[in-house]
Amino acid sequence: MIRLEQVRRAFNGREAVAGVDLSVARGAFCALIGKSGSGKSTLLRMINRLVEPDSGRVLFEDADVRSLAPEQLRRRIGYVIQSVGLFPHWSVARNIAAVPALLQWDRPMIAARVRELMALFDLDPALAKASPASLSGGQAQRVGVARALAADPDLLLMDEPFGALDPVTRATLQTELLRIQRETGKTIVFVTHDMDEALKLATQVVVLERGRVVQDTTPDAMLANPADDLVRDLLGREDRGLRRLALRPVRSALRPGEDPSAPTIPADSDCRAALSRMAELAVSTLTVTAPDGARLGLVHLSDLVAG
Amino acid sequence: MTSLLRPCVWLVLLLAASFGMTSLRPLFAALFPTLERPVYLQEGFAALLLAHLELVAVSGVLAGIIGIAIGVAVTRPWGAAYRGLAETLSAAGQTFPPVAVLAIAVPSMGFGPQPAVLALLLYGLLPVVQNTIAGLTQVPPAVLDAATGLGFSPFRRLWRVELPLAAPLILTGLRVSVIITIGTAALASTVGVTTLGSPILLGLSAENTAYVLQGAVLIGLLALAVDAMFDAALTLFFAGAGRPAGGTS
Repeated sequence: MIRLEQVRRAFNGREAVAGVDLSVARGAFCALIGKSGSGKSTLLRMINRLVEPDSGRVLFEDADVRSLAPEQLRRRIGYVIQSVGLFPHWSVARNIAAVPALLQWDRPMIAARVRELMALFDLDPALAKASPASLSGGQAQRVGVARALAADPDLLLMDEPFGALDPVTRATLQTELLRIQRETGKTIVFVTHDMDEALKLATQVVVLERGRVVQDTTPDAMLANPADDLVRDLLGREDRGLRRLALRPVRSALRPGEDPSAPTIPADSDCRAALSRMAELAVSTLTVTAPDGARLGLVHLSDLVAG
Repeated sequence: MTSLLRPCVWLVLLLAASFGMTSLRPLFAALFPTLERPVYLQEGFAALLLAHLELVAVSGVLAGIIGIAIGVAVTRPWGAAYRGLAETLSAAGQTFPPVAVLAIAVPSMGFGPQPAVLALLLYGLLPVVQNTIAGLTQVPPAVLDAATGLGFSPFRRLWRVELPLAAPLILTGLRVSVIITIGTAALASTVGVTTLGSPILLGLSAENTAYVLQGAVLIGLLALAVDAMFDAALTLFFAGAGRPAGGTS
């Protein structure tokens, strides 16, 4: 879907992006992670031509982005930023309708799409006519993501979209985004400095430092084999094992059996939650239950630790 | 409704004063007993008011168009280098006395409305330019980034996002510009343009204080009426739309 070839970009003589090669496959959820000034936002903004590389190529669906008119390109790519940037003089509905309006969809189609997106993002229909100033931070960013998805782009670029939200709202929006990505199959490139967020959401994690790619792999492979000390630091030296467990659904450690005395855990939990529950209740076996309460089997401490 | 009441009151007073000034002859005769002609009769006051308004409208519209154009140009990436120059020049236009502009312009442009419009235009440009720049630069950067990132063309972004968000400040600049132009336009009578300044000038040269008073009262009423109209327009337009002043949350 996207391929960057040896892209470089300097600002005032300082290289923000210093020769990056990167491929993001269709349907992937790619997290660009690094400290401030690592070049992750610059890299993201090169994809929709908000920043032009000094050298190298950016390919979007095998076409060099320089061969496409910037406005046309951007209307095919969703764009979400940390400070949201809703148009304060437009209603929520008109904000969501921004790109379909640019693409000159007809009015009934736009209205239907706005309703559909507000439902998808769990926004009260009564908010359609509200002013962005009246929204909470979480609602505003829901509208921001809905606006980015309005014209049904295949690719969504997100620059620390949840960075300004409180932890509870952030977790809710992360889960929603993951659900929507699974349902729609969008390709997402996501900038963050929060490793937990990257591990929770991404299928591909790209660690950047001083404009270079340090490691580019799946969350599990990164946890198993961090490329260097920076990656180890980002992953957290002490709880790397726990984070790795968090990537595994409890189903993957399921074994058949029945133990009436074992406490239960829902099947959609991850292995870290299972370990935590064992530690909390001082047991070494849990019964895994389906949402309807059916007993699916057992999970043992030894299975979690064995990996 | 109260927002509409004020301009209406001033407007009624203004019209009553311009159409009824001549019937106040006994009053002016009593106030100024030594004057042989206590009411200005060369032209009707309604005609003076209309001529004055015409001059103000022409200069105001020109100052608005040129001022907004300059403000927009110097806030674009390609015009940013000229921003300091534009601010200095428009400030100079206002510090340079309109009388001096008239004195310099008349030899080349002749008597009549052209030098008057030029002088008023230069004088009224500064508030429009300054407020246009201020209004456009206070648009939150995140809003501009989002507009560009979603695929707005530069012109569409300006027209649909930047100018609407800058509109309250731009209108405030226009209001200041028009109000000072209403007062300054009286000077145009020195270069042969009929305005509400005509009775004032004649009154000053003929030592007829009643003429000065009649012209001055009408100019004052006109300024108050127009100011109240701007106020009502700003209130209705922006408060009614529930428009917030700036950023998102």
